[in-house]
Amino acid sequence: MNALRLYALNRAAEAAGLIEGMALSDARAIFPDLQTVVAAPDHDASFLGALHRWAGRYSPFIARDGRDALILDITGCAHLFGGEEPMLADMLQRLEDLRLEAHAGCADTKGAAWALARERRGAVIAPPGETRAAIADLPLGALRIDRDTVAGLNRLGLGKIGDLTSVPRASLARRFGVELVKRLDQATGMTYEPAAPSSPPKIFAARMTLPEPIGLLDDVREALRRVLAQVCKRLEDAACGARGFRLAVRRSDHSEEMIEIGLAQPARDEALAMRLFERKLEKLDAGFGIEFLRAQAVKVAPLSARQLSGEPSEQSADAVDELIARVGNRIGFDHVKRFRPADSHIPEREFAYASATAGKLSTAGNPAGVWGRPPRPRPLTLFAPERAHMILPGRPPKAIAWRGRKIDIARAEGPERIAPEWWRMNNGWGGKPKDYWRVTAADGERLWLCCDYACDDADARWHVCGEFA
Amino acid sequence: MSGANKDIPLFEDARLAASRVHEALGPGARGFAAMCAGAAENRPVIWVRSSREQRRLNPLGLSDFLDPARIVVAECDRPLDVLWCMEEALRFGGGAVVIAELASPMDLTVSRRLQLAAEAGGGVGLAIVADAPVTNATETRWFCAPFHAPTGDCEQSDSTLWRLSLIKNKKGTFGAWEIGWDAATRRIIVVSKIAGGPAVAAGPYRRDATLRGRRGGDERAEALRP
Repeated sequence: MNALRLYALNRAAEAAGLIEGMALSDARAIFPDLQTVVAAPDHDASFLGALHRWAGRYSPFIARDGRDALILDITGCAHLFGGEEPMLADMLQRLEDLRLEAHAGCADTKGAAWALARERRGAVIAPPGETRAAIADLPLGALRIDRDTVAGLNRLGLGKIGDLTSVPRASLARRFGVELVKRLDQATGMTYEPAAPSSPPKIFAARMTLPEPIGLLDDVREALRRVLAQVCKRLEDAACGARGFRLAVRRSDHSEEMIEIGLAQPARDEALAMRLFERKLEKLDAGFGIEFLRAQAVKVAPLSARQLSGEPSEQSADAVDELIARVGNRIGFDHVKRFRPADSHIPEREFAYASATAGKLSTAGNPAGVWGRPPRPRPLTLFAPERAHMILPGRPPKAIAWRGRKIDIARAEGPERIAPEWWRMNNGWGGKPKDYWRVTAADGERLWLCCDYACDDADARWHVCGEFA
Repeated sequence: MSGANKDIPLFEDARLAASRVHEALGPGARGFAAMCAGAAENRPVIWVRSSREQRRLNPLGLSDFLDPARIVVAECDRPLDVLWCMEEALRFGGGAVVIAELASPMDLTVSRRLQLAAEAGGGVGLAIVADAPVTNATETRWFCAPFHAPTGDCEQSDSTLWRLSLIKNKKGTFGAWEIGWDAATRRIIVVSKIAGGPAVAAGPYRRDATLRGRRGGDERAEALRP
C-alpha cells in the first residue's frame, strides 16, 4: 500500500492503457515517458468546493460526488436557461472559459447521468423516459461497479449495459452479488437513489484588482482596508467572526505573496485587523507593484453581536485579547499562555497552563474555573525536583547543600504530606507520598523542600522543588 | 481608558509611576514583581519570560498576590523576543502591568526604547534583571530579598518578610524598608523603615544563578551598588 499510485489520469494516459490506482512503477513499465505530478487531494477538494459555489447559479440542490464530480438536481431549473440543452451548453462553455475540461450528463436518474457524463464525452442528455435506451450502449464500467465484476461479466460475453437486460436478474445476483443488480436498478430508475445536497462551504473573502500596480505603503494599506471592510461586513451579516485573516497579493510580474495574521478570539473588527496587519505590511515586498489583492477570513467561527456595556473590565479584556494577538503573531499563539485552575492536588497539576487562545472550555476537570486556596502556601516558582544533599541531618535537615551552596535552615514549616493520585499509573511517584516543608534559610531564602519516599536511599530523598521568593 | 495612566501605589509614598519602566533585582525580584502586580488592582498583567527558564510560575503561589486569571504569560524562545514583547505590550498600554524577566541587563538603548514605549502606552513596566546595570534610563530600581529575622524563639518569627531597597530613583529619594505582604487585603505592609537610607540587604547576597546573563562590567556594577 505504500507504493506510489496513479491518482488521476488525463486522456492520453488513459489511451495508453493506464488505469487509476495503478502502481506508478507498473505505469512506468507500460509507458516509460509518463509525466507525473504529486497529487494534492486537499487542493482538489477546496477547488471542488469553489465549483460547488459556482454551480449554485444553475440549481440550489448540489451534491458532491466523489472527489471530482458534482451532482445538480435541475428539476424545475432548466427552463430558466431555455431547456436542458442550452443549460448544459452554457455550463460547459463557462467551464471552458475557466480552462476546465468538463463533461456533463443529464438523465432521469443519478446513476444514468453519472454513466453518461463519464462514458460519453461532452454534454449528453437522455430524454425523459428514455433512460434505459440512452445507457444501453454504454460499457459496464459506467454502472459504478468494481472492476472484477466488469471483467467477470465481460468473460460471459456481456459488454454493454443493454446486454444485462437479457439475462435473468436472479442469476446475475447469484453470480455477481446484489450490488450489480442494485446499481443497474439505480441507473434505470427502478430503485430510488437520492442525491444528498449540501450547501457549499462559506468563504468570507474579497478581492480587488487594480488598474495600475501600486507600491506605496499608504496605497496598499488603503486597498487592504477596503477589502477587509468587505470581508468584515460579510462576517457581520453571517453573525460570524474570524480567528485570522489572510492577505494574498499578486505583483505585476505574477509573483504572489501571502501574509497572515491570527487573532486571540474570533472577531470581525476591521480596525483591529488593520492594526495587526500593519507590522507585516511593512515587510511586504511590492516588487514591480501590486495589482491584485485578496483578503480572506480564516478559521471562521460563530460570533453573535454583543452589547458593549462600557465597563472598564470589558474594555481591558478586549485590550488583552488584542495584545495576545499582537504578541501571538510574532512568537506564536502557543507561546502566549494563561493559567487555568485544574482539579488535582498534585502541586505540578494543580493548574493548567495552556495557550491563551485555547478558549474558555478547557478548565481540565474544574468546570467552574475558580481558584481554590491551597491548604498550605505554595511557592512562587516550581521547578523539576533538584537533589539537595543533607549536611546536618534532621527532619527536615538542618543544613543542605544545593546548587553548590550550603544552606543553613533556620526555620521550617511542615510537613505537608501529599499522596499520589492512585488512579494515575506511572505518575513518577512510585506509589509513595511526598512530604513538603517550607524552609527558610538563615540568609532569608525560602525554599520548598520535598522528601520523596519513593527513593530507597534515605540520603537521596531530599529535593528542592520550588522557591517562595 | 479608566485604569490607565495610573501609578501603582506600593506603600506610604512609594509607588511605581505609570508610563515608566522600573527595574527589580535581587533574589526576591520575582516576589516583588508579584507584589507590584497585586497592588495594581484588576489591571491585566503581562509576564514575559524565556521559554528556556527552568522555574515555572506557579499560579497557586501567585494567587496570594493576585488573581492568576489576570496573568498572560508570553514565553519567548529568543532573548530578543523578550524585549520585543515587552516593548509591544508597553506600547500597547491598556493600563497593563508588563513584567519581563531579562537575561541580560538593559543597556541605555534598550531601556530608553522601553521607556518611550511605556510613555506611548501608559502602562507600567517592570524588568526583572539579574544584576544592576552600569547605567540606563530606568525610572526606579528596587532591590528585593527575602529576609529572615531570627527572634528569640525561632518558631515564632515571621518568615514572610522582605527587605526592599530603592536604590535608584529619578524623581525622589532613596529608602529601605522591611516589608511583608498581607494576602487578605493584597497590600504591602511596612514593618519598619531601615534607617540610614538605601542599604542593600546585609549578609551573603546570592546572585540569581539562572537569571544572570553573560555580561562584562560586574565590578563596575558592584562598585555602583550602594
